[in-house]
Amino acid sequence: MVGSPLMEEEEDMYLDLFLDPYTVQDAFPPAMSHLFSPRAPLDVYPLNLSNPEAVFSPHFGGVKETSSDFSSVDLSFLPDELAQDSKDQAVTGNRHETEQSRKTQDQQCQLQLPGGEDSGLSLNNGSSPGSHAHLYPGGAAFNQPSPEKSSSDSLPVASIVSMTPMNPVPECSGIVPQLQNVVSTANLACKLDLRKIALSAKNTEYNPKRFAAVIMRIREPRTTALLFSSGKVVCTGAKSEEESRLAARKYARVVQKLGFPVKFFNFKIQNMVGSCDVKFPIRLEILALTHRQFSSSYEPELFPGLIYKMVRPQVVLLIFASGKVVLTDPGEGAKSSGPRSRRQL
Amino acid sequence: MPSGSRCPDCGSSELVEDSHYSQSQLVCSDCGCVVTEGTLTTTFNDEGNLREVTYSRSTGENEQVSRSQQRDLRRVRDLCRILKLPTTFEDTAISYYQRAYQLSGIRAARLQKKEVLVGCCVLITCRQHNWPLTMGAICTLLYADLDVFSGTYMQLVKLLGLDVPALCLADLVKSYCSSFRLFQASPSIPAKYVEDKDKMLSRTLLLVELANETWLVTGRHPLPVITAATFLAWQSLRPSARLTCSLAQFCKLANVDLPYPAASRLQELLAVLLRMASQLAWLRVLKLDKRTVVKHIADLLQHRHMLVRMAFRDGTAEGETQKQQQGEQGQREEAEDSTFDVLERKRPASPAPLLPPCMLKPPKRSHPTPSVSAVTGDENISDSEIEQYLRTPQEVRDFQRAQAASQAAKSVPNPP
Repeated sequence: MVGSPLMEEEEDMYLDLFLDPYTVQDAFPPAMSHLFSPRAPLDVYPLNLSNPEAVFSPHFGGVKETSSDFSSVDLSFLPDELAQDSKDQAVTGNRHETEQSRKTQDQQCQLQLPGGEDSGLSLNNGSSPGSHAHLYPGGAAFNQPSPEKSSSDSLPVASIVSMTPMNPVPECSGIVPQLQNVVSTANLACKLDLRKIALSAKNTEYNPKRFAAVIMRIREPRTTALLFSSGKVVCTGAKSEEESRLAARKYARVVQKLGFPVKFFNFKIQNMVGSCDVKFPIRLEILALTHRQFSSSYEPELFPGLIYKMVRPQVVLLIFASGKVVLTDPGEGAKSSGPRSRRQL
Repeated sequence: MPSGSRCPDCGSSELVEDSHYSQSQLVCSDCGCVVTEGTLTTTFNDEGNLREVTYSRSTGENEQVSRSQQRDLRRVRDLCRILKLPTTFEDTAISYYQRAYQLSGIRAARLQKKEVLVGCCVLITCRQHNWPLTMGAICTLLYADLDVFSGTYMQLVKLLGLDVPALCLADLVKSYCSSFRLFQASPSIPAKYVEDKDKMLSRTLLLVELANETWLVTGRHPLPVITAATFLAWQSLRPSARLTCSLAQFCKLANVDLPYPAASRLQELLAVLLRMASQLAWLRVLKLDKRTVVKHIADLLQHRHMLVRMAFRDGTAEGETQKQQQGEQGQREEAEDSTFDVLERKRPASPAPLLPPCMLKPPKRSHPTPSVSAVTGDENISDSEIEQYLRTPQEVRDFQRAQAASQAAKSVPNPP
């Protein structure tokens, strides 16, 4: 039973460090080495490497070097790409920013790194309930680039990444946004008689007093289209760009069969909406505090989510306290590469 | 204080500038005579009384500023005075309005929007100075719709590029609690319901802090949480007399509107308190429920940090145990597992994960993730597939006849 009292006292100590915002950074170097020697569940790490979620870990390792360094590092010179990944990490690492001190005057990047470290602490604190525990051991592994951890394969990765902090870490958190909706437009290049279309086609709605377009639906792919008398078509509801294009062509075929001389010009994707789940709760008020300068807007009186306008790539993220994130197009003012770059995201 | 002017009634020179809501008045502090009042004097008289006249009221500004802008600037000032804000706020709000007016999008906007804009400027000023003013309060003052207000507010923040801090919860608690009419005995309030303001305030602050820590505040409107916390604080200060009073009755007594979500916030807060109570040995034996736990809120709040840690840490301790069981473990881990088991048996079974309530609800029936379809977008579209969407000529005729019949039925006047 040697492990148990030691463990409990360690947990309390780390809890105190964790909950006391002002000692977190100072106490890191001595605490961290103490952390892993007695009871580090190291055997968990190789297991996690086969787990897709564990590819999370290089993500954490990429943005930090050794624990003692970053309080003095000035990260204002880091390029956009790294800042971008830090923002991604912010979304994932924010669970622990609850316990961080309100260092709002610090650079955004500086705040990310403590977030990453806290996640390492939280493994042994056990005070990160609700999040899958396997997400964190990987992170914790990188807090400890100490020689005795020979079992962890990920150490070489950590050392490589820490030597070149400027390289952008590729998106490898294992969380893939699912596309929920794709909106596209096309031009049929001929004037349409909406009344005739509404009469001759079964799957239509037309109410000229309410809206000056025919609403047509097809079953495969399950989509809805708005057909305007000018010949323009808006196609919504598809789950991918290819599906949207196929659907738009099908609508064009339907109209063609009704006797109009249609063509298929200017097919363009206007907007794509995706959603994903990071699987841990997010402290939106802390996220808003640390990202105020990066155009994040959190108004709980108006909307329960935080609206984060990312600059590169140009997407709008709706982040909710439950960990669900919705990604969408910002609308006017967006570059045309917006939808495509969100695909990469 | 203007020197040299005297009160016409009593002749004293103690003249004080005081605002009665939005009207600025010069009042004699000895006899109470109103020397000058906003609309009853002309600029000339004011200047004759040696009162400084603000530029916005003098004749100079009228030529440069349009009438609607003048009216709205005056409204901004009035709103600041009604809310009893410091004078610096007024100037800041005015400057925001003037900046907004420069933008073409605002200048050409509807009057309704400009009225709401007045409220937005005041709200932004208050937020920046950490003055707790809710959007709901501004909307009721302006008789505006919250949707219109929110749209204008977001647009203004974006256009002016302003950095608006979040609503300060502690200050909001203080100002909201102070508005409860429970601190003085009155005919409508029984003596057992009257409470000391400071005690109630401090306890409410602790409860709101607890709610914040346990994810009841993130993403939600702050006011209902504060209402629920105030109610619990009030009940717990004298539970024997007050347990019979419901939340709705409490708000009616206190002359405060009951926000709709407050009831569910109350239930959530009570659930948190119950879980914390299960960690205290002397409360565990009492088998508390949602009503009886109120009596012990004082104890729970006193030890809240430790109790929250204990009540909600069990969840991850269990999770870690499971994780360790899954890996190839040596004997050390097995020993630890048995340790965990022993500890679990000693502690009561309350493995509650510390999550926001939306994550605790059972997940909705999730749509099956669509299989990655290899759609290229250029496939052939068969004729038969398209034909299924078209009406045959016979069907078209039937449909037209049916439509005509329904039109005729609609146009026939109803028999008297």
